Amino acid sequence: MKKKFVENKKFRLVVILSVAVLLVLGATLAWFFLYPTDANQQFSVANFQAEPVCYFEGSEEKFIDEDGLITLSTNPEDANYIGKFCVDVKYKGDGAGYLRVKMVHEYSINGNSTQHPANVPYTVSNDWYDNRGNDYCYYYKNELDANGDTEQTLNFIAANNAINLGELADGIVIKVAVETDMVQVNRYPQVWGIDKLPWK
Amino acid sequence: MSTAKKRTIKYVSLVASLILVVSYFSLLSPTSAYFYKSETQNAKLTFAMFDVEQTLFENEEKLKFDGATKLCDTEELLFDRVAIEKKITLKNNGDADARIVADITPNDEAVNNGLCYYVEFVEEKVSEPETDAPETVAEGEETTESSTEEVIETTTTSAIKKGDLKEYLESKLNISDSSTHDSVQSALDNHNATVEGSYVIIEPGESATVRIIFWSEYDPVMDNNGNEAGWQNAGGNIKNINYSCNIRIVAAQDRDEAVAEALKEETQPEVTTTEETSIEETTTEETTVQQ
Repeated sequence: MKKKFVENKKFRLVVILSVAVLLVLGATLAWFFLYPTDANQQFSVANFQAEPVCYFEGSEEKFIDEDGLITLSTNPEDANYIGKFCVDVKYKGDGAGYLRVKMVHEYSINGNSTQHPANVPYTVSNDWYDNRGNDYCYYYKNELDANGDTEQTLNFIAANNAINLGELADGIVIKVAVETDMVQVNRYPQVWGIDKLPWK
Repeated sequence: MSTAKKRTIKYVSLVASLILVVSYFSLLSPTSAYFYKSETQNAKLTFAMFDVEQTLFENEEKLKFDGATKLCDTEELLFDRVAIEKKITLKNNGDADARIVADITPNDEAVNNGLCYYVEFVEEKVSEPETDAPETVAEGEETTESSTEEVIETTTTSAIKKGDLKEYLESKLNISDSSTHDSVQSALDNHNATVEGSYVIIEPGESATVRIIFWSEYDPVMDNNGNEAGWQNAGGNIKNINYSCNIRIVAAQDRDEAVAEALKEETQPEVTTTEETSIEETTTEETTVQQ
């Protein structure tokens, strides 16, 4: 091959020209590179929904009166005994938010409204912060990030037949309103009017 | 095969090669094949290697904003929490200057429903020593950065602090307590138009970064999807808003014609419609609050 390259003029010319063509092509391809980033990026934003689910363990009845309040009994024999009261929170959506549950109680004895000095000692998990002394609310301490339309459930108040009612008087009738409230992770100061999250 | 035939084949191959080479050059448009620098006095012909390495922009299937945010609200401190930041770095490995142009185009529905962005060039003029070995285009790494600022709380009584992105944008767009959504949007549009109508030049060995901050603007979201109370608590209506945005970053020769030609090839942005999930009938057990 080497001998042929040296001795044969035409063969030599063909080889040299071929190499030259390859070099030119290689150089021009490098020249003509443009480096575009061309992407179509998708984004999304969504909101969320939460609602409380209130029930009494072992009973189908909800004990909701015409005003929408739930009646709680202090008698362990009753189906709506306060120790049997349970609340779950269902939520869904695709936004990230904070959740709180507002619980407002009415107390009455023999049909007369009365005040009560202490909050009802519900059994809630450590995921909840009791801020009822300030704003009647329990706050869920974790950020919620729902998964689209898949409904998720948080256990809030669990049944506790050994609930210690403390100073609650005999014969007292308790009514409670339960409402959920969610806010975007970045707007709680504006919507809830608080400078910082209560448990922090 | 006879010697004459072999000779004939060789000559034909040689002639064909010559014709291909000549045709290749003649069919190329002058702006691509040649570096023409037209100056008032001298026309200069420059040949140089053009090679710009770009970190790959690996667009994820869909980026989710955790919430809508109000840039004009100076009291909203948690903008960084719900904004998304993207960075694309370009490095000039060639011998010729490169012009970098950015073109960000959200589709109309995205704009109407509150998709906003802030784009800027961040020049990092870091020259590297020349090497003898030819540099090849390497696959870059994605430099996507999502909003990074966590709320920093040092004591149990510390309030939240404004994030770096929010402070930076407020400074750049002159946002004050008296700013409104319209005034901020106008300043933002002017800034982006200025950046996208200009370019940055990176010399051989230098790098530059295109930085884009995206967010979902609160007021358009509320205007188009119910009021704040309805959005925050949904009331049974889950709303999903989808945005589509075309992002084009071009590195081209430092010539107007080269850049114009590169931008002409831009693809049309996809159009996606706003989705709303069906309004669900829920038997709510929520009771009204009695104070």
